[in-house]
Amino acid sequence: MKFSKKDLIKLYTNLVRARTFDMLCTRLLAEGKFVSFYHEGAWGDAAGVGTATFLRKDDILYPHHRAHGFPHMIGKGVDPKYYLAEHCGRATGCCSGVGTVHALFEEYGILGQSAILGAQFTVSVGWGLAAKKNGTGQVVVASFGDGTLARGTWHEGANVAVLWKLPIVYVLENNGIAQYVSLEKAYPLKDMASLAAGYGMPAVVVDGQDIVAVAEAVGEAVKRARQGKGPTFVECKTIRVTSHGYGSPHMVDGEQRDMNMVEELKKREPLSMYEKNLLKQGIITKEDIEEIAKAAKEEAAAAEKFAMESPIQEDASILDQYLYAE
Amino acid sequence: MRSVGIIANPGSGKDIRRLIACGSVFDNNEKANILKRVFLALDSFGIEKVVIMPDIYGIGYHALEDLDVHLSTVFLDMAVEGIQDDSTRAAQIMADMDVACIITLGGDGTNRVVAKSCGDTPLLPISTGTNNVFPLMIEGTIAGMAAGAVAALSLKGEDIAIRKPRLEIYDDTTLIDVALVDVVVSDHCFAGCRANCDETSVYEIYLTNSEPGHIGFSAVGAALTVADADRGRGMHISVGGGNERVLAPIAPGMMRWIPIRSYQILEPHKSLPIKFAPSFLSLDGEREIDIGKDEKISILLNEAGPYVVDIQKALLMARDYVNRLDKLSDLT
Amino acid sequence: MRLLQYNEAINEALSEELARDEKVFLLGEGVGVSSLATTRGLVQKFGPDRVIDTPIAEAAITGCAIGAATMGYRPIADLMYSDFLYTAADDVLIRAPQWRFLHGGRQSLPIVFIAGSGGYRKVGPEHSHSPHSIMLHHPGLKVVVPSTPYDAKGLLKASIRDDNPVFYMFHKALIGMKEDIPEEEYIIPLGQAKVRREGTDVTVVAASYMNYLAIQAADKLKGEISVEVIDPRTLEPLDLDTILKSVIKTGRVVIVDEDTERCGFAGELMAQIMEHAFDELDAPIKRVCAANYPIPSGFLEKFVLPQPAQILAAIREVVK
Ligand SMILES: Cc1ncc(C[n+]2csc(CCOP(=O)(O)OP(=O)(O)O)c2C)c(N)n1
Ligand SMILES: [Mg+2]
Repeated sequence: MKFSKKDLIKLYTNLVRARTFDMLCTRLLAEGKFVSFYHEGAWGDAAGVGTATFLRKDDILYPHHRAHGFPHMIGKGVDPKYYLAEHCGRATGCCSGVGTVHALFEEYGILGQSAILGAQFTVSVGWGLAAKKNGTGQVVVASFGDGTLARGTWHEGANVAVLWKLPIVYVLENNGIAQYVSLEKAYPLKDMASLAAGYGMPAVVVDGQDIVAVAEAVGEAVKRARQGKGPTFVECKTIRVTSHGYGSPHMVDGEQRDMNMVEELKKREPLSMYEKNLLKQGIITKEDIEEIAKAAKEEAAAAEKFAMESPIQEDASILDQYLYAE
Repeated sequence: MRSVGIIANPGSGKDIRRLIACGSVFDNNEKANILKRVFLALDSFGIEKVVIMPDIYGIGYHALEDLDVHLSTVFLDMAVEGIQDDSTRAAQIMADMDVACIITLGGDGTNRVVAKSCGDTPLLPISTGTNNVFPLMIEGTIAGMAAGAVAALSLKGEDIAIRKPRLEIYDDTTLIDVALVDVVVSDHCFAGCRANCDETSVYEIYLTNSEPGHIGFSAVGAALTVADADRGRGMHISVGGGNERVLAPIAPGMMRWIPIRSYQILEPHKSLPIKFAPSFLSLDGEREIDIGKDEKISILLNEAGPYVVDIQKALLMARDYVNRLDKLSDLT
Repeated sequence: MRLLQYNEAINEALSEELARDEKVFLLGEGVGVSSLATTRGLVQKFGPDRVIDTPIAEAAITGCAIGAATMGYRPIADLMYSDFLYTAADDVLIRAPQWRFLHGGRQSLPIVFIAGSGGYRKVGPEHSHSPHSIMLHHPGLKVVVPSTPYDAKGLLKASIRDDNPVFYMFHKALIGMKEDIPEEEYIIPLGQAKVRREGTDVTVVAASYMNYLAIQAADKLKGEISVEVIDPRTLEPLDLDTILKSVIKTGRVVIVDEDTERCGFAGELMAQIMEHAFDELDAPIKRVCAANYPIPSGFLEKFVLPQPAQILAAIREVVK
């Protein structure tokens, strides 16, 4: 799969935007303006952006919980300010400030999220079934982490997805750690792709720090799904350099995390690696980079202003309104 | 008696060809299983020492789990990062240790990086993938027997192995990389998923030989009409335009018509400059080197590539060795 | 005596019981680290065979507990958040409670399911549940809801020694609470309510974090209304006697429950009080519960979860 210059710049721009929002969310949480928790995504954000950027607007996407899905939603074309406002408990948020961590952007194929991990495996079966019935080539993309894949729902969903040949792409963001447990302590294998292969689902492992590789692999998988060839599994090897959530202990398997190893991981920072390549290839210039960064900062600042100036959601009358459909 | 080296690549058997070309996933637990069988065969030949490259997945460690063998195993004392260079460094160390041969588990790419530094140490390449030309589709037990004979009899490359050619890539006058099967020049600008299965992107193909039975872009060579005597020789093919076209399996299950502009036999030791820039070089099927506008990259065929163990010959020698030992009743 | 935090008291109880009985072991996601530090440090003391980190596989955790329990072990299954019990609900609510019963009373399951519960942290509808009513609806499962560090320790030790499945729910909002804890060992038997504040005008029944809020309300009303605060401490078994004794004394009752009002523990307790002491009541019983909505995230949470002002108002109204 080849990408045009425009595509490559779009990937870069979205990655810069996702990173800028990640920094914003971290700061807002530290300042007490962000509601509930925040699980930082920097350095592990290429997989989400690479996955989502070239999907069709009507494709269905379940964002991964890390960075609470900003990379995925930004890639999908959603205006992140409505999710930011949501996360700050504002009435202008995408769920009117009722969900905070939850997102809904129907017109962009983001049809809801659960904070209970593993929902994506089975809910996506329903989306896949509906997409197949719709017959318009719609594809479902479900993102999730290595830890999440341990849920039994994966097996129930994967089995049915293959059996019914549903147009689903499962994108694993394997950062080798789930909250406080390392991959080694959670699986007798390292490449989760083998789990998909067992169901006869084509599976591929890519470098999740290489945004082009992710976009290419997901692109091929989406193509298969659109052609009615059934589900695919894409495993992106990525990293987590922060603690699980902002303020939570930076520990793994009962010990403090080895910070030398974390520093080593940081060398695989996806944005600068991609930027270097783009410069070398003459696809962007130093000036372009500055401009993109500036635009992202402005976008984030505007989103923050929008969120902070929006009214806090304190209208109790919506509780009844939202509970049941008429 | 000499030792045997083992390099198992945890990354092989999982690339994008699983999606676009019906490849199958090769699980690392299965690689560990293959190694178990290799160890058991080596052990039965009384091999005393096996030297193993550590890898980020611990294939070697898993292979030794619950395995009853007498041979001693040594993991190289090296830091591994899960990158190609791990294998290149490991091969270098093993060559310096004078192991009798190196068993590799992986595909063309794995052997390419091993061949960069293994010198005259013979390779015994076990294929763990679907898109391979260089390594052999061979059962681990058999590979272990062949390697066992090489080590037990302390055989040298020239006695027991076949020399394979290699393509050398030069940046000006500096050797920067090698390929064992093919070098493909394409108009990609990113390594991306690495595997190159897009025939529309190809400018030219360099081959170490044009034997039939290849898969990948090197199969284009076999599809061309050349004299039998030329089959074993290198080839340079320009793709696109022209009147001729050939049907070739450029990846598992991917039969493609490739338009041919021209082709010629590649004479050894004759340097050919790459004329297309910017472009990307795929080495043995994987996008590896991006060529900038002003870079002077050239390709050269060298017949003195790595030694590969001649399995048939090694197995016959293994038979004689075992029979001799049995007569001396050293072995029960 | 030394001052221990609520989570430290839990940690100490686990540590003592792991040390006392080698059949006891602990398993759950990230128990080697533990977000709220309830299990932190235990793996260093008892090793990874007895303090077992698991993948995100709740059904494997609870199923493993059941299997091991039938073979003489005393597993403690850590579910992190009580909201996650739903992902293993067949084990927690069906299999474990009924196991002994449906096998002719021969095979008991000495399991502790442990999890943090409750809201007031604005973390939304899937991380704020207090799902004790659904547990109570499944006879065979004991339900323990400690409101202080002292109780947290003594009740957990009793739970671990109990031969039945026990769901032990500590409250996330109580983690920082400190209390003097004796050096010497103590156990608080399940099924003994505690009178936290003595009073004569009204009985307030409240467990866990609601008990903390009820005590604050009682203290606030000092001089105005004499409030007796009763902490049931365990909802199954329920110490109805202590509650009834208080009702006979005060004749007025407010029940505070963080769980959803409809079909909740408060309604159940109201019914039981009326069945046993209707004639003693001088006014209709009032309950303050979570309103019948999912728990919203963010700033709307306060419109659903019981608030201190509502408790005060209910008390004032019931004594009117
Ligand atoms: C069913 C369920 N169990 C546990 C949790 C708590 N939890 C939230 S995030 C997380 C770790 C997820 O790990 P992974 O899927 O690898 O994603 P990562 O955070 O590493 O990106 C856990 C255990 C949850 N939300 N849902
Ligand atoms: Mg993870």
